[in-house]
Amino acid sequence: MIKSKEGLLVRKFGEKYIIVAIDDMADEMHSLITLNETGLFLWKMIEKGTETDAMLSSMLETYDVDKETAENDIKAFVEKAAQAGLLEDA
Amino acid sequence: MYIDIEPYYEYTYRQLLPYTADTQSAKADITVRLTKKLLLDEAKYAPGLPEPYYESIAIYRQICFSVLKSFNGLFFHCSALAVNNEAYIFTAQSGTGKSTHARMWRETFGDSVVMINDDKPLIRLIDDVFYVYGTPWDGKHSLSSNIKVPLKAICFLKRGEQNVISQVNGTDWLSFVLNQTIVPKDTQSMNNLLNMLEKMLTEVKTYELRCNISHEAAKVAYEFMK
Repeated sequence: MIKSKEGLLVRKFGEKYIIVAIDDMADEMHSLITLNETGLFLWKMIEKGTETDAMLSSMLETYDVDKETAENDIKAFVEKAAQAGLLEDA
Repeated sequence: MYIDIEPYYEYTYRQLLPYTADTQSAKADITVRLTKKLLLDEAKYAPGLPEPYYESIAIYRQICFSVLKSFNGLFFHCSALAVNNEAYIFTAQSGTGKSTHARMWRETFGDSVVMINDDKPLIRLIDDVFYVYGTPWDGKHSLSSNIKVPLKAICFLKRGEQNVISQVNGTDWLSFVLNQTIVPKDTQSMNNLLNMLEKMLTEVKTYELRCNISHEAAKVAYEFMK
């Protein structure tokens, strides 16, 4: 399952969405993550806990995008989120 | 605002002296009492400094957290000055020359420049207006005044060969700004901080200034932002 760690606050800031760390996470993560609209869409699913397949079908339902592009976008997003230390270990 | 502080060290006492209120009867808005743990935390952040310094900065950190939680205020690491009762704040990465640029303003515009705080002012939102406050934590040269001045402009400073200034989109600078403030850990204070910064970076004019060390730099900046 792909799920975000506890202690991450997502909110609007200006025209964008951001993720900042709170509570114990604040000691681990000091950087600011910026999300675009698609990023926010995927993040909302990751917050609840999800799988790649579920993200793909939701994305294909919501956005006018072909399967290959969506798959690549999701893969890239999850990789970035993992690198930034935002995800629970699988 | 009244703050009740009981410093232990002479260093802190002397630092606070210019801001000491005469009245004994004033009811404190904030009361700060340090614990050993708070001092040790400061030593962890910045090892190898004298203990009085840790006391001073630990007191200020507690004030910043209280202001953020209950007084619509935030700490901002910058050099803040006033001209015609309008505050200009200069922020930059350490060593860029905020204080030096502020000195260029004083040398160029003389007595019309009032130093609010050369290093660590507070900013508060009151009735929809942002005010910059002098505090005793005022940098190497102890430049500050016990005043509050409406915030006119935020200026992000970078070194340059020539003096060039342009208006920028403030919210793009959030990441930078978060490095110049004390970031809280609890959700409520974090949201207070981000709400205030969002409003401040949207409503107050923000500029990027690339400049050298010269009086011309001060003139270019002032003419564009005034």
